[in-house]
Amino acid sequence: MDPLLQSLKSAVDAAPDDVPLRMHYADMLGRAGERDEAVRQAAAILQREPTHAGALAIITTGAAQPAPSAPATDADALRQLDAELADIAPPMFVDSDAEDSSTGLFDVERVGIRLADVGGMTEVKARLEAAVLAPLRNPELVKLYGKSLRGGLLLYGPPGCGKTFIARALAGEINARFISVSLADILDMYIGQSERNIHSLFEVARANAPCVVFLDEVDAIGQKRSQMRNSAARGSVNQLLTEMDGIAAANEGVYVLGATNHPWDVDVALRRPGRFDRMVLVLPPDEAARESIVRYHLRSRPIAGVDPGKLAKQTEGYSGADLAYVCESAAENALIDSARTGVVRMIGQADLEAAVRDVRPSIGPWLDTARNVAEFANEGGVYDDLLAYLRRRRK
Amino acid sequence: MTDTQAGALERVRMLCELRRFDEAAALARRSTATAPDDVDGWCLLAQALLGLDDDEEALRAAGRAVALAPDHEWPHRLRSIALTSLGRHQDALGAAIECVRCGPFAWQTHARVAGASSALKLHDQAEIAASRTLELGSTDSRAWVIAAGVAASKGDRELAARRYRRALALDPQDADAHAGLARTELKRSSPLNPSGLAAAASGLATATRADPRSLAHRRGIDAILRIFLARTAYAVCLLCVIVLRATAHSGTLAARLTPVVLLALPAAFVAHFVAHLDHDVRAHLFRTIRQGLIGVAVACEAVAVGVIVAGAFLPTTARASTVPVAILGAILSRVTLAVEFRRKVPALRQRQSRFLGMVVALAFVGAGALLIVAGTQGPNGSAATVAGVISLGIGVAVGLKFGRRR
Repeated sequence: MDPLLQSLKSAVDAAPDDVPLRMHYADMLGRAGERDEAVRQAAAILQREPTHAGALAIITTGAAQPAPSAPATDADALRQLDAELADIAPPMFVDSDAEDSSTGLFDVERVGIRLADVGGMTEVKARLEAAVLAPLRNPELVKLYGKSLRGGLLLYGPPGCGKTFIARALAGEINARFISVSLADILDMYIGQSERNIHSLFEVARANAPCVVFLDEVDAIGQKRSQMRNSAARGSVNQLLTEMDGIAAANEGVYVLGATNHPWDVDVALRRPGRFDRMVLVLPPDEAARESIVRYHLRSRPIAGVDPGKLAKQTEGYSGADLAYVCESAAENALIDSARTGVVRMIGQADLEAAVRDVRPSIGPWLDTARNVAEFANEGGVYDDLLAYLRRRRK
Repeated sequence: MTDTQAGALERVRMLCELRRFDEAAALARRSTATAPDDVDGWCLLAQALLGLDDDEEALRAAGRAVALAPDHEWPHRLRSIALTSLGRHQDALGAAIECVRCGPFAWQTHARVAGASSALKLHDQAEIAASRTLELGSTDSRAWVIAAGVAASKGDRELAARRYRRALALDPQDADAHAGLARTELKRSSPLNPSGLAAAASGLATATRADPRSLAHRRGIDAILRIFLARTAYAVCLLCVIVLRATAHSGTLAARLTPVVLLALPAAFVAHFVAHLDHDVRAHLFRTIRQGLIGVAVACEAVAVGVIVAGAFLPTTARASTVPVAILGAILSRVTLAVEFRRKVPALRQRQSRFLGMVVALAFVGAGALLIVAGTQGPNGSAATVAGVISLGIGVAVGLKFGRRR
């Protein structure tokens, strides 16, 4: 080792809490190409002063350079560094299933649910398997056929039918981190800030790859530019296009999922290849799914003699949110009854059936618009699934 | 205005643009609660409430904005729109004139005067305001659509169509312009011209594509398809009557072939209409005629036509008996269509009920008048007069019940 570095090391060992001295030592190590040791020293500084800018810069710069074992991506390098520093510095990213980590504006989380946890919806699961999971499980086949793993998937369907839940389950299935974003997280009144927010989102996702970026209500974030008078919002769409194309950086390992009730309001450019080029229709829950949903919403309530299967048969066309409301309504009836009579009673089948009679399916207005689109704007058969569903429903 | 407040209002603006009016109204309500002196907050609340068709609340919110900024045009404009929606057209015109006073160089203010004047049937005043709207907003398709609406309401369909076309040149995706042009062209075309009907249906289909959330355009398409089916049914009925009157009892070759030749008329009407339809509307028509009672009606028409054709090849004695079957099929078809239309379209049901009610009322009034006249001249005068007065009373009561504007 260089004599100067040797002497600095001795000084640091003698005065371990002298932050400027240690910083100087880390800096010298960095210049001498001793990157690992420099990062260790920077981590030690951060233990004493967590916001020390110089130490943070060394860690960031060090992480961005290729590690000796040449990990595949920057994210892998970061994780390797994380592991190396585990015993001397707090981890940069948490790999625990239960814990969430916050990265500025966006929460990066590990999800514990999988597609098997989604009741029913076999058709949707099969579509997801074909469109996303099979290529991911067979990267060599993907390579053989020259197919890219980039691109996004747009989940669309009536409100309250579990699009967000399915997106989370998909992230769990591919063991990826999950970032959920809605209009409120992106939109900012200052010119250019919304675009910066979108850029930050994708930067965080790339740093956390493999990662699923879930854009909820993508019709709001990526609305047709022809419909917009608000120029700030137009900029957001342009930025989203740029980020999805990954011009600035590689998007390998970043899977973009969008959810919308109104895919017809999404800018056409966002549906081109490489962006949201696959669409999956998420319909109101089928009978099996409805039964699961009813069971789920009644699981912690006092019930007696309830037949979820029978309820599932009676609630054709109800969304998940409608079913939640049915259970809520039945519980309210039982509660009011108990309060009136002074005798606490269980929620029974009769309460639930009365609630089913009172609560009408909420997807009617959506179906009206969907019918207009499927029958008059089904260019290139984009909405064939929807059209088939509407025909089945009419019969 | 604080940054937080400005940010909230920007979000309300965006939500209104996205037509998520319920969220916009909730956020605007919070904003007006924290900053009750902010005019923009009240205006945006009014705009969101208008989007939710809550006109009373929108009027209140716009009123608050007017009180805070009596010299701003936007609050007056929103107030005028709310008043028009509430049917208070005279007040709406007053608010619109105030709006022009505050913003004489904004085309939107003149457009509001045009709209309010048009609702009051003050066509000359509306046209002057529409012209001023176009002078100031000649590059905005909305200005042309509003001006076209004014022209259509005063009956100048030529001018209306020109203005709608101009709007479409500026913005080919303007759904209101497509729908307005389709309706105007429909009114301009002859009832016997099937291509006019087909063009109107296709125009409304384009409007539906441009704005799938609007149910009005789709209802327009359905109305045109109903008109087509009803006209076809009438044509078949007429054909059957002609066959019955002119040729049923004659055995000559000319008499046999005449019905078949005459069939070419409704067939040409149908073929011309279908050929000129937009692809999606044609598919919609075929789906429609396969459904429910409309399917039954079309089947009845087909039977009527089939019987007429078959009659050409039957002996004269048998032919005479086929004609009533054909007439029955055609009448059944029209009646089935009427029943189905009444079931599907509440507004139509209301209009038809009103019509029938007025016919019944007139019948009672007429009978009453005759009885009264007979009573004054005949031997059992008093009984007839009492019956006449009762009949007249019933007629007036029924007339009042159904004649009242709803």
